[in-house]
Amino acid sequence: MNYYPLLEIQGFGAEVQLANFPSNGDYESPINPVVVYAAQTTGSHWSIYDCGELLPWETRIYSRADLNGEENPLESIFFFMSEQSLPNILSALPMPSLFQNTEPAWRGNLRVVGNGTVSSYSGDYPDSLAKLENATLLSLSPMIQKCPGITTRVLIINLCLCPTIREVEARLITLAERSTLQTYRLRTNRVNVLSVDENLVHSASATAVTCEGMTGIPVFVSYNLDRTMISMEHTHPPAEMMVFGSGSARRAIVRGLKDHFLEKGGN
Amino acid sequence: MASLFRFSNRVLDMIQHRLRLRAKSSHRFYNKVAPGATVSDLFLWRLGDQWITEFPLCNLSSLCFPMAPQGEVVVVRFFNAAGDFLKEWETVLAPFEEQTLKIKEQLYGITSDVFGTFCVFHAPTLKNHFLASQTNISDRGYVSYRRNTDQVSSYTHGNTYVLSRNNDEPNQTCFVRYASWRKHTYNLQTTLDDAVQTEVFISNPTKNRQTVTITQFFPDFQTTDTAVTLGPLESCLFTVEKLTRRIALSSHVFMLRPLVFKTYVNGFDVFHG
Repeated sequence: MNYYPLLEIQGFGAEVQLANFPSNGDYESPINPVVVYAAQTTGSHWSIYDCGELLPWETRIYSRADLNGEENPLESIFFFMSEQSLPNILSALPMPSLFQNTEPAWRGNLRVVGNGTVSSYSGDYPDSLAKLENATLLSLSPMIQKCPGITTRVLIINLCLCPTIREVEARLITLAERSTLQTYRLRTNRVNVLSVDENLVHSASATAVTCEGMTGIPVFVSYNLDRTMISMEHTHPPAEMMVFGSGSARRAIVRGLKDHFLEKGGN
Repeated sequence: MASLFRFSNRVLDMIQHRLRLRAKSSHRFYNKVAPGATVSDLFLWRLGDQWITEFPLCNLSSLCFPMAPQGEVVVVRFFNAAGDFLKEWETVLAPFEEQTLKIKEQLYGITSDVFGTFCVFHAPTLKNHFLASQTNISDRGYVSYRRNTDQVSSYTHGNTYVLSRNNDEPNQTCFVRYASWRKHTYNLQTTLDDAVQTEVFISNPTKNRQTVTITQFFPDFQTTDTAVTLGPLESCLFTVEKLTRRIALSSHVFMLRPLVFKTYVNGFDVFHG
């Protein structure tokens, strides 16, 4: 099962476009109708909202308006597709569904809508990541734009199968000195929006975002004052800096670098 | 013959589906890369009157082994739209250093092409770290595009391993496999008709000629096929017809996914399929 977060940033529209066809396959592959649901945590259970059927080969854009105002306006929304009909309360999010077992992954187009422009990326929040309740996050990204008049927000998307809400701390650090530039309080099962203090970042060298106790997908969004231009892209996990060879050796390298930047980081 | 191909594709898809073969097995689409070689995605550059392309170069060796920060030699190789080699540029990054690669400065006076590709190879000074772990350092970095009048650069990451290079050898190697007996179709899972203009960038990641069929789907269920034949590392920027709802790409190359530029009234969007 893949989940598709609504990336809501104050002052912008947020949309998710879902397609009921696979990324890879010939046109004769069997495709069934699915129901698109939206999930929102209450802290004790998942509220599930039926957003209607999506027919084979159909695409549709979803937003908060598809929940008809019945949802909590303060909580994030995660869309997903299901071949089975679901009750409107769940104690845990549904586990993998075979129909989305494709390569490349079955993606949605996650969009931020500005003034006469849109920025998007094709992505998903896979259930394999949602299973990790207590993991860590390290984003080694050069995507903070250090130009006057440009604002950068870092979105940390987290989703867990269980609806529990936990608070954790994240830090923006310098890579070389591991000095903490900013600290943030993040929450599980939310699209967390972090502000970046331009004054701190301007004078800093390369930076990273770290978080212990919660994993997630970091997304960097930059925009100008009148919101006519937006950039949005997610970052690769650190493991993507290596390829091939022994998987266990690569995991050991990632463990080592995470130990360095997370556990021993910060002043 | 075509129906036989379709049938074999379906059988293979069903086996793959049943056995739940997916991401971890994707390495079967690549030839073996020598231990210690460095790997790069093939990135698009856009220039001309309108476009500016930049690439933040990061010292990946120090990020992988921050306990033993090391300098790194970075070699960037540029290609034109036909896939011909244009030039090589080298720089040295101090531990944790970031430098901005400005493509316009690099290619000034060298080519009149308005787009092409480049790759980024990292040579750690402490090569033994990667050799010992039998893995390869790879740059999947973030390319930024902006038009001359734009304030904001739009980033997109690399999405396909394409080239490797042994640091002792001057040239790069394409290590992406393809299967001449099997066609792969990639369906872009988003629509295109909300933009003023949509351009789709594709490149041939293999060392052989490949034909890619771009199918455009229109709202009235009509389709148009356009076949594009590309030499090794050759690339193409295809302007999608107005009213095209979505596209699919068919070729013998697995994971041949496009880079999409959608122009809106004010800004533009760039993303990987």
